Amino acid sequence: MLSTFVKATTRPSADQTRLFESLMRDSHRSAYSLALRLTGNAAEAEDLVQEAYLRAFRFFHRYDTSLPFTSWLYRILTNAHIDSVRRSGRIRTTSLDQVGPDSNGTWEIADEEAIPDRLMMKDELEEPLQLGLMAMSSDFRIAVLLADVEGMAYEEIAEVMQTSIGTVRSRIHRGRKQLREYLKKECPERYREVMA
Amino acid sequence: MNCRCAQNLLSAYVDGELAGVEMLRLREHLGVCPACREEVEALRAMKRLLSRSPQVEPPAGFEDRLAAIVLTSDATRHRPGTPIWRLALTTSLAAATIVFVLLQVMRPSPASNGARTAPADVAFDVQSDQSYMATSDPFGGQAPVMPVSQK
Repeated sequence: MLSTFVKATTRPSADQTRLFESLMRDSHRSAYSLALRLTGNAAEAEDLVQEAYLRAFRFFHRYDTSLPFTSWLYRILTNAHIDSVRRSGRIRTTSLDQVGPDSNGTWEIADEEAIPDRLMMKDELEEPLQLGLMAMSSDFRIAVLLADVEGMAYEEIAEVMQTSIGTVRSRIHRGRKQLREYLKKECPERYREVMA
Repeated sequence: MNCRCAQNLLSAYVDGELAGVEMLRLREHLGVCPACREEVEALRAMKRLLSRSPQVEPPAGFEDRLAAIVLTSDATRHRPGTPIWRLALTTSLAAATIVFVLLQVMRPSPASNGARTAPADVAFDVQSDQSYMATSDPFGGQAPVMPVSQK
C-alpha cells in the first residue's frame, strides 16, 4: 500500500504525459459516448469523462500497456459513475420479490421518481432506447452497454466491472429483458418496428 | 433442459458466449420450444438496437478543454478522497488490529496450563477432593489398617 502511495505521488515523465495525451485524444469520443449513455445528459457526461481521465492520468503508472487502454479507462469510468451515483443517491433501486417473465427471481426496478435526468434528457437523449436504459439499475446498464454498444466479450466486461463472468451473464440478460419490457410497455410502436 | 434453465442461457447464446454441453443442450431445447426461440429473437433485436445506436459526438472544443484540464492537473495532488491522514489512520488501525489478534492468539489459555493455575483454585480443588473422600470412602477419611497375614 505504501509503495502504491509513493508511486501515486510521483510526477509523470514527459514521455508518459505524451503517451497519455495520445491515448486520450484517440479514446475520448468513445468514452464520451459511453458516458452519455450511462448518465443520460451532456453536462454529467462531460464531468464523468473528465473525472475518469483525471484519475487515469494520476494512476497512469499502473496501466499495463499490453492491455487495451479503453478497457482500463472504462473500468475507471464505470467506477467513477458508480461512485457518483452512490454519492448523489440519485438513482435508488428497489428490489422487488416479483417473478418476471423470465421466472427467475428478484428484479431491480429503478425508482423513476428519483431520476431528475428524465427531465434534463428532454433536450438531449430523449429517444426511447435511452429512456429504457435509464430505467435500469446502473450495474445492468453498464453491462448491457459494454456488451452491445462497445462489443466487449463477457470476460473483458467481468474485468472492467471486477466481477465474475456468471454475474456479467446474468446482468446482461436481465438488462436486455428489462429494456424489452420497457419498450413493449412505454413505446409499443417503436417496439414493433424493432421486432419487425 | 426445461424452459427455465434455457431462459438463463439465452443472452449468452445470442452473444456467442456459450460452449460445450450448455450450448448443445440449449440448441436441442430451442429445436422443440417455439417460446424460447421467440425469446431469442427478441433478445437479438435488443442487441441489434443497441449495437446500431450511433456514437454521440462530444461538443465542439471538448477534446482540447479536456486535454488542458487533465494534462495541466497536478497528478501528484492528493485528491479529496484519499488524504494523507486517511492513509495514516488506515495503516495505524490495520497495525493495531494485527497486534491485538497476535496477542490474543499467543496468550496461553489458563485451562490448558496447570502450572499457571492460581493457588486459591488449587486449594479449593484439594479441599473439594478431601471432602468427597471423607463422605464417600468406607474409612471416613482415616488411613485404613490392613490385616497382616501370619504364616
